[in-house]
Amino acid sequence: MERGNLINEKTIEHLSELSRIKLTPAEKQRFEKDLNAILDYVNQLQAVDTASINLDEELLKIKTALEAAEKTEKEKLSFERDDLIDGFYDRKEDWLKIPPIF
Amino acid sequence: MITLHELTIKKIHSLLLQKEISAFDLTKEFFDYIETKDKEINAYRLLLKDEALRQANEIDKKIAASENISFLAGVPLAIKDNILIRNYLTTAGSKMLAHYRAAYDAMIIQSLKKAGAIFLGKTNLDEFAMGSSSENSAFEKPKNPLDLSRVPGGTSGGSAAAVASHQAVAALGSDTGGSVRQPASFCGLVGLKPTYGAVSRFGLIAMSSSLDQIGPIAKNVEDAAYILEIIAGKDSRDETSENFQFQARSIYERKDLRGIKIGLVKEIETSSFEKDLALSYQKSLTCLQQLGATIEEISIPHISLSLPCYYVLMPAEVSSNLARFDGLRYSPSEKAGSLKDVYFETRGEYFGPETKRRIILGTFVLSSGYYDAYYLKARLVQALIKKEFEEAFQKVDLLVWPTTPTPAFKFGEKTEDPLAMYLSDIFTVPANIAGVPAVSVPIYGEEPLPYGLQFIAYHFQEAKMLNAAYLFEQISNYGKFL
Repeated sequence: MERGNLINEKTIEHLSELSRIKLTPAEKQRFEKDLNAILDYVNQLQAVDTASINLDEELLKIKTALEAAEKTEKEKLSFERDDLIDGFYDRKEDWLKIPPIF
Repeated sequence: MITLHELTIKKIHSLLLQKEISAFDLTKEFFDYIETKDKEINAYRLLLKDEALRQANEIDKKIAASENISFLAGVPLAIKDNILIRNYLTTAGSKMLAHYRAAYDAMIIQSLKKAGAIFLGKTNLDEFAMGSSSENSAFEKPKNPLDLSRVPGGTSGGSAAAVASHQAVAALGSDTGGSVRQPASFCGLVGLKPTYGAVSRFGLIAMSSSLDQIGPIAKNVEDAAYILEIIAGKDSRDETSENFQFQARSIYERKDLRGIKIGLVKEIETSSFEKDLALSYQKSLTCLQQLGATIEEISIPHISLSLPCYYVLMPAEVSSNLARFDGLRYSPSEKAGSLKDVYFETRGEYFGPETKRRIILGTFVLSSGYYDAYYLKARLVQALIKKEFEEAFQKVDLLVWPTTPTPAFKFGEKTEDPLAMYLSDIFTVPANIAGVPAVSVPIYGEEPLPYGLQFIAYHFQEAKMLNAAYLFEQISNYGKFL
């Protein structure tokens, strides 16, 4: 299979934007190369005949939260509000203190 | 003085009951040893000495009062640093969580605490459990105690290194694509990945939620079984967990493997194995035959598609799960500016390269225009593979194949080529993709470094699988630590 050029500089920039991850120029180049190689490898999935698979049926086999609702007793989450607040890395009274972002 | 090398869960339980040592003294001995030994190994990220000694004291009080204690009481364990222990730092091996203190205990931690286990500390791992060598740790990189120039494996490398260097009796890790079994294999230990849903993931920092499972790394099958008994079971806080009850004593049920059919997957070509692996593998098959098992060839036609499947599905889930790490909620970042700037700058700087690579890959396969061709297609192939496993287990009781294609590799050997690193997972990911349980036990050829032999069973057949693994361990006599 020929080496794909599925990912180019523009794609990487778009992905960086979507995933909210700043990339250096070196990283952009690196990831372009890496992603093309990886996607080249996973492309073999395309050739697999999956016509016999009904995904909806398969997914129904996985128990859903609806079944779990049969439970009469639901164990309450055991932590107190204080546990979470005490874990804040910086706080003012009961508020998580973060740098100004607006 | 107790030789730490000789300790197993069973031995500790007996020593404590016979009052030959106190839990406090035993725990203290471990910490004394860790103080010198871990400079060489870097297994531990954080030690929990005060809390461990306090826990040990509690056990001693119970013993003094002739109260019943569980077989895990007083047993010193190492915990992978992506599993939450309340009030302590949990970094997931990432700068992103360098200051994150857990607000609650993971389910398995609660279960192990209830059984009286002692937590010596948190172990190093690849960042966010992504990697195959623990070289992606943003902090210390653990070394393989069998050869310090080699990796202990990943991502539970610190956990495996701790046990293999006798700095813990056993450890807990997490396995999404092999991260318990592969380090166990590299370090000459037993590593178990339970059936998906057998163990609650509540309090495990999520990587790939439909694949992650917590499992033990131990010196022998018996110890792994003891731990599984304690950690398995339904948890209403993890809706994917099942009401699975496992009894450790089930590993003694059969005294041989007569009547057991073991399948060798023909799509896993033994001709491609390197010489020493082929030798150790053949010796293993002979042992299984000596135990009375019937060995036959079986086909899982699409098993080799497990790895490409994994490298589409897992990054997709990673990109979603790691979206929460924004520099604001869990751990401070020094970044300022608009909200978007804070996200960009923090994630750009605090995530390591492998983490970034997988998030970006995952974002791609889920993005508009590519979702059907990649993510949806991978789900379809996964369903196909699951069906093929189901059909295979209608014909045989167990499957066996090696854990890794090579023994532990050298530091830096695979870091330049991500795809080469990914390919080393080729024998471990099928069990994750199919959700079936798998256990790796150490095997040796003529070279000093161990390989691993995996036993794979159908969903929730851990009893049958561990029974066979236990018998194999006894007859093959590779228990080098005992």
